Amino acid sequence: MKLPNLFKFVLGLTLLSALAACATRPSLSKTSWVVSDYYCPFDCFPTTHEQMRAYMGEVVYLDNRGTIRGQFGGECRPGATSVKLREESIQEVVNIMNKAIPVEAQTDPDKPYFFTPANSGLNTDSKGNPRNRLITGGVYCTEPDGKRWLVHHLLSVEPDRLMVYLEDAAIAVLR
Amino acid sequence: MTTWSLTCNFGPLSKQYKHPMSNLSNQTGLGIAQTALTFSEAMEGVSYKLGGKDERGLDCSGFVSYVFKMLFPSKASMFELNADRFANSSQFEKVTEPVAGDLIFFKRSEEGQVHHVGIVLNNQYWVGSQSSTGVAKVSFKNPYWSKEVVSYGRYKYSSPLAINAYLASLRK
Repeated sequence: MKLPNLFKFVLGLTLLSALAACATRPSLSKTSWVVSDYYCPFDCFPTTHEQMRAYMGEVVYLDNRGTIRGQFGGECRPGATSVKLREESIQEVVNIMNKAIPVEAQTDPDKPYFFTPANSGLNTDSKGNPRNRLITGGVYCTEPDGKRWLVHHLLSVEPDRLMVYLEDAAIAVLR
Repeated sequence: MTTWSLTCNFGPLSKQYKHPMSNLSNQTGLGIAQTALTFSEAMEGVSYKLGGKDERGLDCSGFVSYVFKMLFPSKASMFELNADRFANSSQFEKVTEPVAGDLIFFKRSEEGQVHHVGIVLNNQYWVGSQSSTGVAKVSFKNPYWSKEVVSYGRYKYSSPLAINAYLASLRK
């Protein structure tokens, strides 16, 4: 193979690889979402209920506008928001959530609380169909020095629904 | 309005966490804040873990304990506290004007117990292990946390003078 042809071949292969990687990488289907619901599998404190009721209908921008309000309060600089997603089994996501049940949610030491695929609402997709795997991840802010901070733990990412893990073991639904 | 008597400018920090030397320069408010920040950067991606006290996962008091134990190893056992006990510990004096390295305590009501604790980094951020994000920096403007009842505690031995006095007392 002549050198220019070899160059074209390698370049083509590189481009194809890059395109394949882009095509398979999960991403958010849109950048603006509306807080449509929330629930507390272990019940929440009145202050959390108050906050969440106030956020209903609020638009949340998960993009580089950097204006995210409420408990979704990442104070990202404009241009500093990024999203990192991966595919995971529901049980693995539930296992991570069970490590992260805050101490104040465990109100009865004789009856410790645990998330399950069912009580977390992760076991079905936005259409109500059962599922075993989902897209999960986080929204990050990046600082000028390159350091990233997780600001939103995205439990489940679908084209028409986001489920976000909040403080007090609450789960918000954005559509 | 909160005023600040000390600001904190951090230099470049290594991505890889290194165990800090528990020397006097680290045992100041700035040293506590910088260690907390360095440690939190190394802990990126590590989930909150109820009762967790090490790199495999930390809860809020576990994070604070970890930082203080590294900086004040001779008093490590005194930092085995939950958030409410940190707030009521005689080792921490209540302050109203926070500076870097102070503890920040959160309650849901005036009468309630302290349920969350973090470390003040500067006049914009504090750092802690939150159940929703794991170890992460949080803006003072974050509406969720800023709606809670907030108080501050300063480690009594975090000034060079106090540390020298403490070390002198050990030599007696």
